[in-house]
Amino acid sequence: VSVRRSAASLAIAFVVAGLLIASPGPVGEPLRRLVNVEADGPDPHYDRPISARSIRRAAATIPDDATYAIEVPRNDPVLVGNLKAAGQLFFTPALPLQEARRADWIVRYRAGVARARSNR
Amino acid sequence: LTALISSVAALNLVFLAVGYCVLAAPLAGSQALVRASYAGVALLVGAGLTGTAVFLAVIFGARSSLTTLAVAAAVVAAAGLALPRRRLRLPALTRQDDGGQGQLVAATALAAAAAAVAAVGLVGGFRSSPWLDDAWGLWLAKGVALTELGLDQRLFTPNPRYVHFDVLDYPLWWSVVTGLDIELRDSIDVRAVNAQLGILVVAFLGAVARLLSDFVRPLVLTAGIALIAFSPDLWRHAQGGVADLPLAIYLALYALALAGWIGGGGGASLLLAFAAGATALQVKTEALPELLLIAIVAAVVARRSRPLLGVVAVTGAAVATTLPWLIWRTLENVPGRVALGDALDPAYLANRAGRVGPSLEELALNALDPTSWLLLVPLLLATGAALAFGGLTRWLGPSAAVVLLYLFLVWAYWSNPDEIGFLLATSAYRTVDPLVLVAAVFLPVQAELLLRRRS
Repeated sequence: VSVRRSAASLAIAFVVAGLLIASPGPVGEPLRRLVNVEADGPDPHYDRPISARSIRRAAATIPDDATYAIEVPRNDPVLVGNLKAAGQLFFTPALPLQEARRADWIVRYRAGVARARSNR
Repeated sequence: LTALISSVAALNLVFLAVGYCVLAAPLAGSQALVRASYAGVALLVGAGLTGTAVFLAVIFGARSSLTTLAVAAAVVAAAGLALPRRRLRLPALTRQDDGGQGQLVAATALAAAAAAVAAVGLVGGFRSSPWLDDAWGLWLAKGVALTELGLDQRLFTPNPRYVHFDVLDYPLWWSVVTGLDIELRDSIDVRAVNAQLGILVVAFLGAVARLLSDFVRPLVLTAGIALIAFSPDLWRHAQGGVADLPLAIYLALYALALAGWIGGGGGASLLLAFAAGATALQVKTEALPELLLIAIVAAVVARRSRPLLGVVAVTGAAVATTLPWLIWRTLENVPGRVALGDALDPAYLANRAGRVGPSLEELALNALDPTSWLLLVPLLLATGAALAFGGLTRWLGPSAAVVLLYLFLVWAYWSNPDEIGFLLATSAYRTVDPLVLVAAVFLPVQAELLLRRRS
């Protein structure tokens, strides 16, 4: 294939790729998302307002060999699930306990912020 | 971002090197460019087998640490280098027609467009964190625990004292691989999940292109690869970090390798089928029935004793790699989420017959919706039917595998104890991934065969 034809085919390729990105509706959505938005940070997309910085601060506070429990003031399964998952991701090797009174550390969630305090 | 890129790249360079060691026998004597064209295959083989070896080490008490990675990589690489060269030749397939100049220009354009989209997808993997909370809250969290604590009973078995993980019956290959990305990064960065998945997806596109290029003409091949690369759900799922996608990648590769063995012989196909099959089985629990369905179809298509023996032997070897996890689960009383007794009980199923209709509809919608996977599945079924009408009834095999995978999923949703509406809404869009990618890898082959019959 000649250089001219290769160049033409590459130009067609970029037009096709551009059309894919610009195409309306769900077809172009994944690529538009990549092209248009600011890059995400290293923290998860929480489903509820949770300060990612406060989770990392709590993780730095809780010692590796400690146990912890998470207290959430309201019965919101999604929030509880997000905080449980955040704890298992960020606080490990510290271990989560079912019963808060037995835990070395309590992580309390209030108004989007998680704070760790000693329970001993 | 630089630290993320370098750590994920470092891990995948290890996988690539291990993969080339495993492929050393089939590629012996090949030119450098030919070897380079197997990079996608090598990366998937290296990631699959190294991740599996680390997972097995974890079951036997090791932590999923960098030391374990180094030992596992060395063992797999050494085993690969020790494989006998004479028995592991590549399949004997021939391409009959390259098409004219016009076709080659169109093929180049399609290949470049697919490469451009794949490049955007790959870069996007490093820029995005998973939209699916299971990706970071379940798979990655387990991976981090495996690097820090190993397979600790306090987190990985049901117990009343500790808050253990959910879905304890799932195998842990995807957790091991993403956990190693984080271990190298030395800080929690959930973008590593999407970055790793983006690399696997690009490797898959390259591997399929490489494996089919000895049989399928360039325009048909690049059109097939472009259909996969342009599918919105491929990148949507890659950006979600969903484990169903690596499962689909390895199951499709297993199916394609079996087809290569049946159609062209050569032990290299069996080696690839083993690597892909064994890896798929370490990703999710549904991999076992899905892999066995593909194997049954392959066995029926194989007919003659030698190909049949190869299919049975390689599938048996792959299934054997799941035994340590099954034994560990049995010893630690980790049950499956669906009781097999219930799933096979006619009375239990009859009482839940109302779940069949919604399952049939939702799964078909997700597999056939052109805004999800373009026309990959309908085109496979259409080309399979056309080949069968033309007398090539063996080529109903891929369609049969896709239909069986679909029916298996319907049965899985039918027998699952969870509320059906919620279950379908939150998972059907991704559990169809294996059947879609199995369809995708066979579509170019069937299109090529149709063109050959016409000419």
